[in-house]
Amino acid sequence: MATLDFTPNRPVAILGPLLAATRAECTKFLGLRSLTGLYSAGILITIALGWLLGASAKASGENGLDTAMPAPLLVFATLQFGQLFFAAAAALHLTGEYSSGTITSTLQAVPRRGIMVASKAWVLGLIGLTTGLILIPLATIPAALSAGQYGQFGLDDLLSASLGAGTYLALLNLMALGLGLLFRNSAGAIVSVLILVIGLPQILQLIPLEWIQTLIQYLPTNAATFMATGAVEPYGPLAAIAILVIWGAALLGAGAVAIKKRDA
Amino acid sequence: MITLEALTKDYGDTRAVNELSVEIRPGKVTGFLGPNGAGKSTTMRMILGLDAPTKGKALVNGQRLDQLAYPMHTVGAHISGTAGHPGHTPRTFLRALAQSNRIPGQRVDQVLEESGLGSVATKRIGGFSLGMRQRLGISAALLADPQILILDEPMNGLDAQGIAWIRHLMRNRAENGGTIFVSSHLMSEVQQVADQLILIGRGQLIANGATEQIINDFTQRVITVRSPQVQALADLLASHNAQVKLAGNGAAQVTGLAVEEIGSLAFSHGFELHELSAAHGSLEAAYNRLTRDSMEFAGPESARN
Repeated sequence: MATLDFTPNRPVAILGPLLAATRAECTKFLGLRSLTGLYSAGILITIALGWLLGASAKASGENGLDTAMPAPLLVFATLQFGQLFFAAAAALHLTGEYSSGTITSTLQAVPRRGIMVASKAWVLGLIGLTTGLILIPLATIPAALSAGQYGQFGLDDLLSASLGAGTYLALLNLMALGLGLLFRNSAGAIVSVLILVIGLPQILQLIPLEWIQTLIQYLPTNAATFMATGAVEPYGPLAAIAILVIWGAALLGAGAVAIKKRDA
Repeated sequence: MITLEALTKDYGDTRAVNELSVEIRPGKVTGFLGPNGAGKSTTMRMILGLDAPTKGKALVNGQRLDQLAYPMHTVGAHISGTAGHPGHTPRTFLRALAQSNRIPGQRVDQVLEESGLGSVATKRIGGFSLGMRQRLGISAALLADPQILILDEPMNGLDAQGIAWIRHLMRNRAENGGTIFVSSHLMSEVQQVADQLILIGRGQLIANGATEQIINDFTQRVITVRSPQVQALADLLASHNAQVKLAGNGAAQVTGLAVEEIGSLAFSHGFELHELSAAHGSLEAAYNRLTRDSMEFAGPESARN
């Protein structure tokens, strides 16, 4: 029983255990084909849709319609669809542990709920950020090729779309993780993510009340669009980032509080 | 050393664990017995910090487990049927656990070999049998080579070879100073390995002591007598408050009297005896009796609450 060097068990340590748990979460995420598969699907679909929308913009433009749009922003717009794959993977990363029972192993290894949640949040946030930063430039190539002159863009367009997508996908993953912690089952978490990013904007649009129409502007997907397009009205990119951070913090915080109070 | 101090857990109006106070000491295998639903898993989950006690404390070496930075170095645990995501391979599952507690990576392959899962290290857990998943959970508990092992129903689904392996493992570690806390709902599973037994029923402590002691205290001795005049002898013994069952072939099974008492009664009344022998009741029988009693006792008790 003395074959190993014992790592001292100091109860106050936070950073070391958090880094260790983050490595573990990274291993778990990358080791699951269902999650990496969802990410691959989201990436491929975004690239394909970027190409398709580019071609469509070109066709419309040649028919005299004013549909020209910088190619990176066009790709960003297709994330409306691709984001569902990424958010689903983020929710499943947690809820899959509940449905299989292995959350028991996770919490036996990392019993402090705050550290467990933070380690998952780090990994999902980093994966979302990296995906956005790489995916926009990557998908911009086919979109720019198919859109031709109707997809002309500058470096600033590429930067704001890439940074915007990275920030948005990172925070979206945290929202999905938060919903996963609240529901602790895959179906509930994924349905609520879908409602948040697709259902709510669509349903609320049908209600002709002014304050509801204002409210829609503050939903995550709308805030993301204002952030990436560098809008001025109704609010600018910095306010948009703040709104997204508030969404992420609120949902993740609610989820963290919920599992702290509940038995595993 | 695991210390439970008046450990209590309520689920709504139901008390799953009631004021459980025991110590589980090093150098011993401690069996944790009770029927299904007695509160064994709940107790173990509270020790591990998975569930929060309603009242009382569960301490490991004087500390709460959920306050430790790298708890797997102190306690290895396996809760039956929970090890691993079906989409992961055993190696990925164990590697992640090792990383989370800063356990050297080579331990992953060592425990996989020890538990007999070396050949399926890169297969997905989803295709595993219950027995293989049990082996995986136990190997996860052994990753950091901890001094304390907490195993919830580890023999469920294991084949004879697997049971022999886990028994040997528990004995071996206890003899090297380890603390082994193992639950089961079957007395026969732990009877041979446990030095100490803790019996619970409906969340209540029924008995706590050395295995031998519990057998002696709680088993009724069954005494076999054979005599050509067995019917008359049976009547005589019954009149001295013994329970007598005729077993055919001139034999009777007697409980409630000692061998010496039966011998002297037979002698003083001039019975011819062909056999007078005492057999220890099995621990299984003692356990069934104890837990049955706890049910009868607990029934009206909990109804009053």
